[in-house]
Amino acid sequence: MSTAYVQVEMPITQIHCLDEAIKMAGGTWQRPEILNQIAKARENLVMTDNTVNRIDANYQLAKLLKQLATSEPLNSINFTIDGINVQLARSHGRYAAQLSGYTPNLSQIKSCISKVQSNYQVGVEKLKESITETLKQLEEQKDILSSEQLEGERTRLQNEKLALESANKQRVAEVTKELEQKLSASGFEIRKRTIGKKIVYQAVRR
Amino acid sequence: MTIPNDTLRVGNISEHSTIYGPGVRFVIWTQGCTLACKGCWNKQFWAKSGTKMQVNSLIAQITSTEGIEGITLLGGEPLQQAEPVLKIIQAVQKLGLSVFLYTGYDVEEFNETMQACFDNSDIAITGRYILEKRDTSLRWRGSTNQIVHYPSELYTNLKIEERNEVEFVINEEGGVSMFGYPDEEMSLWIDKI
Repeated sequence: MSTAYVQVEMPITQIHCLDEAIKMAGGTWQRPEILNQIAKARENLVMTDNTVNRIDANYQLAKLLKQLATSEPLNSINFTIDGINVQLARSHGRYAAQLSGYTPNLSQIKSCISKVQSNYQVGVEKLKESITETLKQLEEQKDILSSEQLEGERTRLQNEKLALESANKQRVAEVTKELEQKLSASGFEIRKRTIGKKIVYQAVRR
Repeated sequence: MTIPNDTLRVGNISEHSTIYGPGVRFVIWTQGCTLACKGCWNKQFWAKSGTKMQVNSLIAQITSTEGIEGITLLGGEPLQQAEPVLKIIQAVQKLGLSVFLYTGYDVEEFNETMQACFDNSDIAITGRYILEKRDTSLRWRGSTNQIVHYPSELYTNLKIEERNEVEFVINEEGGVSMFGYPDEEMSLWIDKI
């Protein structure tokens, strides 16, 4: 009798939104320390009572968001939802686990991943909307706010965006590397082009 | 249900592809095909679903796409929507772009409108995909029975260098789409990327 293996996976994700997604699903995980620091910085920003403190709080948060955007993705992600533990390791642009078809709770593991992914997508869209909306508000208030205030708010929002995009960039980098290696090993000549935000590979084998 | 002549059911669009004809091309996969060739690689385009696009808006999209040599129509079966396809072909030619048409029909099976689509194309590939005659080393065709025609003079001097071609598009979120003529081994490993 052969053993069936089942791949469970999800793309590399921005850990800040992943954190929210796990929370929304009622789960827990070992949050990286930077998320705690960001949460604290966000609280500080909300609590600021004067312009000088707000500018400072914005820069503090922006700095942490940049740190998040430029850090290496986690090598593994472990989370628990409703008592089901999910352990995924990073591989070729995604987090995956190869489980035996006989793994107890396989269907619950799949369901947990799907729940987190769906929450993640909702969270990412919300964050994008919130960034766009806040940038719009800033534009409307630009005559009221000082240039320092404006700059601080903009820097924070830009880094918020950067942190969101960094996970995708990392995934694209890993996927392209994997694809190039596979195509070369299969004897293809490859031509790479960039069209807008897409990367196109033309692979030719004579 | 009948679809108005100025509407085309579209399964997919790739604005800049280099593997379905000469140069960089705007590729339209029409949606819907009843030929049901055994081993067809594009079964997702069999159903009469897809996005219903106004011919005019499609032409506007083609017009605004920079850096293309022409369009390629495949599917699905483009000639099962011959009337809107003919409108697109005629409009595109007025723009100075070339037309590359794929059809699973043989020339003898054409009706008048299908024939007009063929006659107004610059290159056309005709014939069913036959699994037993599959050959991934052919350029622009999937099986050896399929015929390359040059209805206009535009590409008659073009020499087709046979070769296996596959195109991969990676979007900004890292999703991978594959087009062209992959062999079985490649079809297996692409699923794992």
